[in-house]
Amino acid sequence: MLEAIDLTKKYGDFTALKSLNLTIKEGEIFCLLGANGAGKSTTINLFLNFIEATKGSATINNLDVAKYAKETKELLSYIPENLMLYKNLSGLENLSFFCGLGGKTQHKDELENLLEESGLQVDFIQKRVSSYSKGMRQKVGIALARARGAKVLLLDEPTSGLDPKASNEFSELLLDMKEKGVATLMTTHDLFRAKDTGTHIGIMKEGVLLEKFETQQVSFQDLEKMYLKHMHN
Amino acid sequence: MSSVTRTLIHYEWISFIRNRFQIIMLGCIFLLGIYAIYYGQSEIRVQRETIKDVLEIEKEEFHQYQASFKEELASVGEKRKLEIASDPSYAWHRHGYHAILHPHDYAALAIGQCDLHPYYYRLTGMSLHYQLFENEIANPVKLYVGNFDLSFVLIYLFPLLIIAFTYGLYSGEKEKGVLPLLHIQTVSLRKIIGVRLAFYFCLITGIAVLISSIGLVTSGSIMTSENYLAALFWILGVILYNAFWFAIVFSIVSFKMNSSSTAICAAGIWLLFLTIIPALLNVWITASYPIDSTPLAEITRRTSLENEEDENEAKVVIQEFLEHNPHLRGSDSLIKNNTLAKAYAALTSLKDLHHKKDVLQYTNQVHQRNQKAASLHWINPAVNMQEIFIQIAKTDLNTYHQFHSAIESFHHTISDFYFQKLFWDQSIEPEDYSKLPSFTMKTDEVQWQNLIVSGMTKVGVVTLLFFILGFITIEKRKG
Amino acid sequence: MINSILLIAKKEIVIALRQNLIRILAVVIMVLLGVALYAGYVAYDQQKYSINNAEEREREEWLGQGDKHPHIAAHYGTFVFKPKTILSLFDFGLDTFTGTSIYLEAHYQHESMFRPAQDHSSMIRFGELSAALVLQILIPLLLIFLAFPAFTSEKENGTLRLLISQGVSYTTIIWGKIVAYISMVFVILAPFFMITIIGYAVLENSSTIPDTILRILLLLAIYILYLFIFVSLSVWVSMKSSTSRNALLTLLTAWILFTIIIPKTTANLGESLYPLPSMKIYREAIQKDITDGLDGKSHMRLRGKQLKEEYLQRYDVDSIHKIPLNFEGIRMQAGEDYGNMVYDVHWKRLKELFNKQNHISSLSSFITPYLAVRNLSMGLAATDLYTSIHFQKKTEKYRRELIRKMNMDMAHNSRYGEFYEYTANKKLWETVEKFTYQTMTASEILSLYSIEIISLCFWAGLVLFLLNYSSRKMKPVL
Repeated sequence: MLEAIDLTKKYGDFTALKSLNLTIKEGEIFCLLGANGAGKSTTINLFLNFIEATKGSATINNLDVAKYAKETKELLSYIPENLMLYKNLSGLENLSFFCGLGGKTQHKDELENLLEESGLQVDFIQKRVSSYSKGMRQKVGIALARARGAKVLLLDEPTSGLDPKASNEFSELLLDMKEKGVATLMTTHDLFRAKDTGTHIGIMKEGVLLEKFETQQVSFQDLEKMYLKHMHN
Repeated sequence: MSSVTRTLIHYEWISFIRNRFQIIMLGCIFLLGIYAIYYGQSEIRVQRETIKDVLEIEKEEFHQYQASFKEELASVGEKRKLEIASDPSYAWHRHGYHAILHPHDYAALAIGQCDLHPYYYRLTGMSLHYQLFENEIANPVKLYVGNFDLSFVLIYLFPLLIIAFTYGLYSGEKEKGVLPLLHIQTVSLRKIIGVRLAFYFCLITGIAVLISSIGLVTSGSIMTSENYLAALFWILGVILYNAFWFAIVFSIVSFKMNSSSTAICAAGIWLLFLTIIPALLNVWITASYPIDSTPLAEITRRTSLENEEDENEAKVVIQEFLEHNPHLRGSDSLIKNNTLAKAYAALTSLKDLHHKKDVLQYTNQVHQRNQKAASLHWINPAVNMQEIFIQIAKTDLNTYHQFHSAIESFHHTISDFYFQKLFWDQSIEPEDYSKLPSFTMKTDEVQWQNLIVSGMTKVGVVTLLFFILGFITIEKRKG
Repeated sequence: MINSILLIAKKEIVIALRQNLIRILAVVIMVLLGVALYAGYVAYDQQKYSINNAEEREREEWLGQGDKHPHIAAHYGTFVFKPKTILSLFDFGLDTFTGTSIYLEAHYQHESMFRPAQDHSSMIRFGELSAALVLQILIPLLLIFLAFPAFTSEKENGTLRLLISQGVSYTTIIWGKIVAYISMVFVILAPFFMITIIGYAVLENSSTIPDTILRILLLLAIYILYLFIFVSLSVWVSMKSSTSRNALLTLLTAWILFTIIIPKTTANLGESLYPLPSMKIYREAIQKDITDGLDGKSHMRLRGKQLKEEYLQRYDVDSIHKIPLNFEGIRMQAGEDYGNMVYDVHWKRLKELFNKQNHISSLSSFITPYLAVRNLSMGLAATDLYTSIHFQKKTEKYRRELIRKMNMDMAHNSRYGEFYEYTANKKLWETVEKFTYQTMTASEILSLYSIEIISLCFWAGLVLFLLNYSSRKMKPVL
């Protein structure tokens, strides 16, 4: 579903991402680990076509995101670290608006159901987003991904700053999406969350993907050791 | 000055001189001020030159009359000249005197209404109103747009400068995130804002006073008796008006909104005072004090006797005229001589007399309307200040009304001078030319001062109100 | 695409309506517009009433002046008054600063008297609240307040990323926002369009302005274009700015430059570059040319002599008394004609000075669209300088006709050397038709404002180009 081929991004002399090769299939959750500035967000931004690749290509469903910007956008949904919505609109209105933009207008009741299924308390659905916590906004993001019927989910540190309960709920939602065959690329600092939720894990440093393995292959302790080893070098 | 205040001022100064944008703005306003002074002076120079030309024309005219007494009367033209010079039946409606309102030295700084009203009139003994209502040539577009004089820069542009410099005093700190740091200091927020406002007040008012001083010094000597008080009033006005806008900004800032809202609010208030309120009041005043000038148009008509060949009608007119002019009454025995010329003179004079009521009613209407406008100055210090500036420069409507009354009595003097001769069948002698009527205009200096001082008091009171509002809210409001 | 634009527009409107500031401003604007139109109507009504009355009175005076010599009647003269046009209640234009009545008499072209502004204190120079002022100055400011955060707030809130990740292009966002702001303004203005149209249907009975409906439509088109330019400009600035605060400051600065500083400086510049003569000097020059002749060599007396000889030859007689016409009438008319010719030369010069001065403002409309709209709006409302000059031209034509009739009557019906012996009566006065004024047609007036039309199109093109160019250049800022 998601594929990076020799994907490279340079800012002048600085290489933010170096020859990334990566494939994420349907029903996979790929967690990218790494320190700040490792190139995780650059990867996400390249898949979003927010920035242009210096070399190589990022494809979604075998379509190059740079060439088929519109088509690939229809397939994906994106939740940044701090999902910001229009504060003066309610969660429902936000959802309805963004769905509409993707050309997927749905009935209000359905959207309400989606928000509920995504874990948003019923009495908040009609309230303005300005009264929402961060976790609640992320839930609207998940509901949006579902409503759009996204095949690909791009998550940029979605759980940072969430309390453990909210974080846990978020993972549940991701797993649910995974069951439905969604391919997910998620960046995170949270080793535990990666191990717990991801099907695959990659470790990045200075723009290079150093390791890539299936989650089941390693224990949490091994993962932590591996991660710290790379960070210290 | 406490050390805290000194520190605050010191750092404000550093941040000011490091902000290139602010320096550029100050430079721009300075240049605009200088241009405005130049523009105003060139406008007034044109008026002065015209006055010079006009006086030259008048001098030349009377010189010719005087010369005609001495010349050998060779040609028809020369004979005719002597006739006009010496025979009152011609002279009274031929000899043109100029009533001139010399622009005040500081008119260059506040052009006011002086591009709208004629500042000189050529007067003969003919019907006053025939001569009084002619307009000066002016481009209506230019009148509509107005003048870029110093008063415009002070009234319109300085408030913008003040807003641009100070709207972020509180919100800027907040958005930069240094507010918590300020809050934990022992000095109160009110004091911090207060000191910084005072700093900018001194800076901007300093520039305003500097530009004004340049204008005052280059437009006329400030030491002369008619100028020094005006100059002093001007400087006071500048300081007061700037204080007014600082009080406004202070009270807006005290509400502790974010910087965009503060800017919108300040821009809104600027618009309110400088456009919306005056524009509203203008249409309201026009609608509720309608002035119909059409009946006045008719009195400018040049008329003659209904039946000029009818001597009896002419005599009736003369008799009526003599009724109104007791000092000429004795001349009725001479009524048979030169009857037609006397009748014509009597007719014009009577016409003025008959129309006096209409004109008076008209000027009363104008007076009432503007009395109403003036009473509304309370709610708008900007308009009030503009009015004060043009009062200082004597380019206000009132000055023109005084000018008109002076013209009226001058016209009376002129007519009387000639009518004395005409009705007593005397001719004008060369020595009469040293006793020709001349124009003077009385001004009421005490009333002038009172008007300006009371105007400034109004601005002062409003300033104080805004300042108190800001002073109270800034502590009450939690940002 | 259209669907997305509408969605974005809808969202934008919902958000705007939830802000108190916008709601308050909208109400304020509506109130001001209402007051402006009402006040305009009251002033129009008052003026129309008094001018109609004055015209009637003048006509009666002229017809009822009694029997007298035609030349005395020519001096008695008559007055004409500049009628208010129905559209002046929308845009007062220069009406406050142009004279309202003109005295028409023999030998002498009077200037118009009584500029209404002379009856006001200096407050009048702050402007009058007309519907045109609201549309030209206040609504652009409202648009700025609406549109300055168009992009910056999406950036500051982080919603821009989300929007773009939905596959929405910048072009779509831009148009969505423009549609939103424009439609909000139209909701504010809609009631007034209705009132205008109803009012037109009820009021229109004036023959002064021939094609009112066409003019209203043209005004509508011009103002739509103008507001579109302002919205687009605001959205563009918002797109290019890093923070809302910067966008707001830039736009406010532009607004002040556009609507206050540039119009004023250019008008002042015009005056400095092409100074006008003073009335006295102007009159003296005309008088001198009449006396000495335009070429300086044909003195009045010489011209009189030539005329006399010409008539003696034409009728082949040796004395002026033998001409079958009253030569005095011929001489007067010839003097009148010469005076008119001289006046035309000087007046044309003066008019050219006006035009040169105003040409600078016209050209400056390439720096500020406000000037283009201001001039076009005045032009279409028939409250501009061209209409004022056109009116003056018509009155002068009328005056000449009147004087000619008087002189010719004298020439044909009285004898040389006689004056008081001959009187004309009401029959002659009636041959002079009542003065009626009709403005130029809309197309005539528009042809005088070609620079403004071009500049308005230029501005529209410019903003479209800027939006298009920048939206393609724009990379999602992160």
